[in-house]
Amino acid sequence: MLPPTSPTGSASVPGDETPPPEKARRPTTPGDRTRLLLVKGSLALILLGMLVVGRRNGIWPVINWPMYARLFEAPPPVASEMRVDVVTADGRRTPFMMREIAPTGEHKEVAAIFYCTQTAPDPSVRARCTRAINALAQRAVPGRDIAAIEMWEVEWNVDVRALPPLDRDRPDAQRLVGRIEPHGMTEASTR
Amino acid sequence: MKERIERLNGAVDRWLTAPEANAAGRLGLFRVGYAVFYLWTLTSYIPGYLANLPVHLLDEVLILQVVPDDLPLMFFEGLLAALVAALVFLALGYKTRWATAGVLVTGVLLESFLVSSGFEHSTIFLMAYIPFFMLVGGDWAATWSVDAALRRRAGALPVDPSDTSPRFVLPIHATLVVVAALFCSAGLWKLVPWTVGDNVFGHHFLDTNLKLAKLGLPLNPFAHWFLDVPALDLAMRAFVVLFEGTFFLALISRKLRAVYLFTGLMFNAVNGAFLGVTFTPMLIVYGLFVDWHGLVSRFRQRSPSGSRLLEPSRLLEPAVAAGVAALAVGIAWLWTETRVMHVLLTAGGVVDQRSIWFPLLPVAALGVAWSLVRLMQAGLQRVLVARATP
Repeated sequence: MLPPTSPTGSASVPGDETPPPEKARRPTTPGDRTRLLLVKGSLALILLGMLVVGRRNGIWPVINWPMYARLFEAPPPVASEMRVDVVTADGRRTPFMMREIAPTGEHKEVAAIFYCTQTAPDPSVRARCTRAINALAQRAVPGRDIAAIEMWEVEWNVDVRALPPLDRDRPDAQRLVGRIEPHGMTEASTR
Repeated sequence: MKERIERLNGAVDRWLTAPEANAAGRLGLFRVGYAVFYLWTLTSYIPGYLANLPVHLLDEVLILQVVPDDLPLMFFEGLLAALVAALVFLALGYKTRWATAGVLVTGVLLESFLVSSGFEHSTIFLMAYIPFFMLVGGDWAATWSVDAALRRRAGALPVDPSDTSPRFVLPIHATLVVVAALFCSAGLWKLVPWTVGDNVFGHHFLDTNLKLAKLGLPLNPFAHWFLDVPALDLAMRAFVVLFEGTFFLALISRKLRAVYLFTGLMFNAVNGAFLGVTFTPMLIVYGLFVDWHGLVSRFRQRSPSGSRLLEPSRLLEPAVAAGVAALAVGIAWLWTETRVMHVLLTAGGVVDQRSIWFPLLPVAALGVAWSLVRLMQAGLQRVLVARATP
């Protein structure tokens, strides 16, 4: 990369570097004037958008930050989570947590897709959801034939002040929510 | 009335174009750091999760309404590969405007799917606002870039790193306006629930510990303190609402800006390192206000580096184009087909969304103390001058 041509050598820290003695320069070139106009116009639109957007993500990235702006209830004495078990043709069972295969680390999307495979009224939507969950399951057990995918609701009794508050590997109860048996792998899951 | 509007417009212009030290040089180096940091952030992205997902489950963001339903794995892997390749071009500063546009479009599209699944992880500056303002109002390719070297070879005058032309400061100041607006919105949203409620942090941190325990992640050992000591909970609530709600003050003076930015860094670092609330992509915002060129110049003066390979006389554009394109394609291929880049960028998994904050904690703490002392010194000086003036 291009080495600096005349470094001034004055290091500074965020936000407090002393600006050069000159005053702010009014844009003199047509290019700079256009840039200034575009930045001001964009800022006006973004700030206006933020005022009307509320808590919705509809016009993301123009959003508010209502992060954690709510009251928090005391944690419940029992915690639950959805777990997906992939059963392969050789009889092995691989439970997986969404964090291992999904960036959000949440289970609700997988749960939604799973319920969709069972309850969506439109057969084509059910088929699509099945393909989606196949693709996820195949990521958990690459290269192995999947015999079934099961969704389990897992529960732990919680001691909120303990560290850790629950034993992740030893749930106190678990319930089978549903099971799908994919008929062969789809295109999306054959990597 | 017209005169007032003109005066206001002039004041806005002056604020947006106010000089920053080494503006051209720092923006060039920031571009390199931005691209590397973006790539590091992407190491936690797994696009396979999005494949075949029925869009009706993910239709919160309007952009997705024009995206076809039932997108295959290949689409998401292609999108991620295109983003990675664009970031390689950006890091090297070759065809920088196109690379910036590519990073903006692919990043926003990819993130729209994740945001739609209900996950806010503070990527809007990394993926949207910074590349957007660089595209419409900035020039982060004038220094420390292949583009600049090629322009020099073609006979153009080199850009002085200390150049403070509007195109080098506009994106910095525009980003600060959006940061201030978002922090203020965060403070305002919290104002009522956090004023009327009890045990906000106590319950929140214990609940966060439950989530972390389910995922097998490190826990916050101080969570119950906030429940046992109500004053601590109250103080934390008051601090957060005041800090966020008054962030607009950072627009008033450089000294206040330093206080708010260092406090923000400290706030995010403590949350990320100890409390299980990682807002790590926000780090890039703080990086925008550091004079990287000044820092690097100190070392360069002591031991001049020998980047002779990229001296203008040695650069041939076709060879450069082929080299950069080959590197970008190679890295994108490695990204989608292997874990090599992930391992390299995270130092074998050592540098993650949490551990990255640890070395920043002392920097942030010193910065907060230093900026507050500077602010108080300036205030004291004003008082003394006012008293001395008859």
